[in-house]
Amino acid sequence: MITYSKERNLITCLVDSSIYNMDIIFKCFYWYGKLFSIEICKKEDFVEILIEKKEGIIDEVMFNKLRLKIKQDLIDFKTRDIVTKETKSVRELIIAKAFSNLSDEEEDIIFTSPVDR
Amino acid sequence: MKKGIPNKLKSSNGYYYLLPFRFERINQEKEILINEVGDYLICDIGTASKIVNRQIDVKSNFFGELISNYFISKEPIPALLNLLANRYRTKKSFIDNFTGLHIFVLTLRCNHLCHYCQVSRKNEKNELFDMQYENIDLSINLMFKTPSVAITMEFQGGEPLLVFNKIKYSIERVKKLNKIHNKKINYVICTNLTLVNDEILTYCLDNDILISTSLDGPKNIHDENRLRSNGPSYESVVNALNFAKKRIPLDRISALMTTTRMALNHPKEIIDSYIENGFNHIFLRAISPYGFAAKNKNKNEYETEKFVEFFKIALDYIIKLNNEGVYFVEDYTALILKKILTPFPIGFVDLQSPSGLINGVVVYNYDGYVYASDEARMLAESGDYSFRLGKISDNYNDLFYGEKAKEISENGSLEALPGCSECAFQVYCGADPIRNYVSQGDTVGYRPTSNHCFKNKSIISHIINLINDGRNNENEIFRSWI
Amino acid sequence: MMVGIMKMKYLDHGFKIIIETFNMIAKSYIIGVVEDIDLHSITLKNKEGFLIKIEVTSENFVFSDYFIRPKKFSKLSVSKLDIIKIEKRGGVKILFKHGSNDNLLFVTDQCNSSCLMCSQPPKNVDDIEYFYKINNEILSLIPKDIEVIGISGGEPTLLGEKLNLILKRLKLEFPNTRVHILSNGRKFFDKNYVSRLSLDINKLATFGIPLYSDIATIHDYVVQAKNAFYQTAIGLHNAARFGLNIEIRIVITKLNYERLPKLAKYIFMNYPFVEHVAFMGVEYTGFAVVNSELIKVNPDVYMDQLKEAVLFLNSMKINTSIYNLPLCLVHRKLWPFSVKSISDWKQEYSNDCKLCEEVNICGGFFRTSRLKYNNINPILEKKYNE
Ligand code: SF4
Ligand code: SF4
Repeated sequence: MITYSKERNLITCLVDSSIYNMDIIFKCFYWYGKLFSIEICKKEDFVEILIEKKEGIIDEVMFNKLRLKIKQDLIDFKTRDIVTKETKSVRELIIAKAFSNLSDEEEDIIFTSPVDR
Repeated sequence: MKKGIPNKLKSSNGYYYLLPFRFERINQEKEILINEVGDYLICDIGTASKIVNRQIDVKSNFFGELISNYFISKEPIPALLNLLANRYRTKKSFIDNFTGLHIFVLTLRCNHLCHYCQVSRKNEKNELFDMQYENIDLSINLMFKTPSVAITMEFQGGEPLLVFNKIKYSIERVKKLNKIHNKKINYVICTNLTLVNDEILTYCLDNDILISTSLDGPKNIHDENRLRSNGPSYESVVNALNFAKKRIPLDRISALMTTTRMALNHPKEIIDSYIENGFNHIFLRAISPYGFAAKNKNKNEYETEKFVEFFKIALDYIIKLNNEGVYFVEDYTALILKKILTPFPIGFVDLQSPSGLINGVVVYNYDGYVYASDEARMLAESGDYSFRLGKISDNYNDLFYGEKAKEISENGSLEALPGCSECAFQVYCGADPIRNYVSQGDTVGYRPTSNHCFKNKSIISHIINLINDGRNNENEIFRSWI
Repeated sequence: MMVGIMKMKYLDHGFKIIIETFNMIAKSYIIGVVEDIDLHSITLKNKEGFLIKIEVTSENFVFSDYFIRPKKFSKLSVSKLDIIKIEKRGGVKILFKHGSNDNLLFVTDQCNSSCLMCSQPPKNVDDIEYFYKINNEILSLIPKDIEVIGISGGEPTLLGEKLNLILKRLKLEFPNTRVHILSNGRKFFDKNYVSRLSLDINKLATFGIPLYSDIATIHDYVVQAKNAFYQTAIGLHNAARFGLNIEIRIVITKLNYERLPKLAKYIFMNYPFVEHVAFMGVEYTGFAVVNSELIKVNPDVYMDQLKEAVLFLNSMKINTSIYNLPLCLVHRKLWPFSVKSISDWKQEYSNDCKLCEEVNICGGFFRTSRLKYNNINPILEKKYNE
């Protein structure tokens, strides 16, 4: 739920913490830090995010744009979070495999560009 | 099976596993998915979410494409893990070439007064600002300690040709010592060219030395930027260039340009002036936040946004020229393209992760100290010694694997930096902890306000959009650049 | 030098042949280099240096390519210095054509895949020993300075150790010969196998390995073997790791033509070490005829995709060629990549080709192909450089 208070020049965002974990929320609102100052408070089963514009005011048009963007970003960052977490171990495996020491007669395969051959 | 009558092969059940990848919207309709080794797929917005929510039809070709391109796998440990590991090793193989670029600052003296000069140059006559012979010897010893087989020895300044005798001394010494070390060595002299003469050019030709000079565009822009202490310098550079071109092949000369606020309004003129002078490539460089450039805020503080606009217009113009049959390359684009379109690594320190500091480049300074990068020694000129690794006379391991080096490398991997870790462009981008330090106060940096991030993000997504659109033969042209 | 005489007698009806010679009784065939030949007799020198003269005693029969035939069918293409095999029943087979670059050692009819367009369908016969013997005889007889020799089957890696022995022999006795081995590369999945192979092989040897799609299920379907794609993919990297030279061969069918550009990109990104990529038209014999419904597609249908794929690989500096397609069906931009690839003895031109200006650089089509292209279009003006 995203609401806007004209008097306080503040957007309040309530996020269900059973859907969006703190990693997602931090990573998502990190990018809003250029124009806004962000405050994140953990409540019972939701998280409250207070978004305040650093300079100037938030008008209706900006709010509507922001609301859509925040919703979209939350979904995107949730998707990213799933990928990051589900692939953590396979990622480590790839890196370990890539830099593992091979036995003597084996040569590491590293491609070279046909131009350099 | 009956002879020659095809069997339908049984397909497996619908579950699949994710492999590491990142994604980003590139325009209103499309998003790009980029895997751990830089392979990309441009798809409709929402595709990443479909993949993650297991909504991809296992019978579709797209499913097969996701598997071959390492976005998903039918097994928890992918059947093609070895291939992926080989690809990853290849992409990161620049790490093996530990410290390929060795910069020698033999003098800080210069005969120019460029208002954005990145090193705070000293008066032309003061020999206190030259490197001692003893330190030259020690630096060369350090250089030969690097494990890389191919190294570049680059002479910078000040104006290194003010001490041509020391350049010659260094190269002769390196040539002799290399009889034991057997490394492949490229030499580069970065010079404003005004001091070149027959002797110097003959020496460059004989030793296959690459000359790198500065040309900021047509006369009015170049002269505005590069006030010579005794007169305007566009003519002298062009004259020297013409003089040099008669003696050494043009492909042994390259020019660097620095984009200043004035240049921002003249992308086409700058490119034309490069073509006029016989060059077939240009490196569109944003001015860096170091040395004099940092102090001269008033004159040079311009929005990175403007630079990105300038870059796009320039790139459009260059593509148009290519379509008209003029082969002309924008080098920064070409570097990024090599990361996007090929499985190979690039040896360009600004676009690497782990960062190119120390493991890609190191500077032996006239002052007797070793620095992590060109930028690090410029910072030292303004009194900040944060990235000084130690004395030239110190021991190799202490310098290259010591505390300072560790500290720098700690924040040198995009994979671990906030903002970057899940950024789709990570594989195409580069880490620069020193730049973060200079512009944002610490080596971690803060991506939302980082110019470096803004610039790379904008340029990379612009290039991707051009690839995706391709209506002006961009794909063909781009491939001819890499 | 000993000389033996073999007389072959024919009954006028059918092909019954009686062979009388002292050392032919034990063996079922004779292999030798042709020393002398005319329509009724042929003199061979075998690997021990014996000269064997073979005469046809019946007036009505002569030597021909494949068999001793009634006179009216004769078309003699055996010539001096060729290596031929004469079988007990009178079959004549050219094993090695002197001066040709198309010679190969055929090692087995067995295969572990069963490609839908295979021109030489695999047979489940125990023939490895048989061909191994013949090939060793061939190797004893051919000149040591031949430029190139192929190894083909079937699937050569099914030979196991015997392939290593052949390769070793080539490496030792023919150090300057380019060896070209056609394999499906699935066996290369086994790193140790590749490692041993790499020790026995001459530096000039190349493996021609098929990859029909960037999508595993399509490739597997075309070769009719599950997991073939993964095996070949990993095999290709193992081959690169141990320094084997690789050529990728792509036969273009209805099943894979749409994704040729994607396949090209996939090859460049994942196998940029390959020496050569060949795109090939189908030879419509064997399984290709049985499955023609499934695989047949006219070159004009896939020319755009082929063009994109070939030009892409070329711009990425990967050597690329097009085999087995008549020039008039190939986009002009691709002519520089078209190679006269069909062996001379299989090559054929149509009546229309007589008018064609480019008949000299065109490879024509397979005489052996049962389905012909119906849109041959003689080129009437030379525009090669366009
Ligand atoms: S610096 Fe910016 S563009 Fe580069 S990886 Fe980090 S977040 Fe992405
Ligand atoms: S007409 Fe015949 S010779 Fe000419 S290109 Fe076509 S197939 Fe080749």
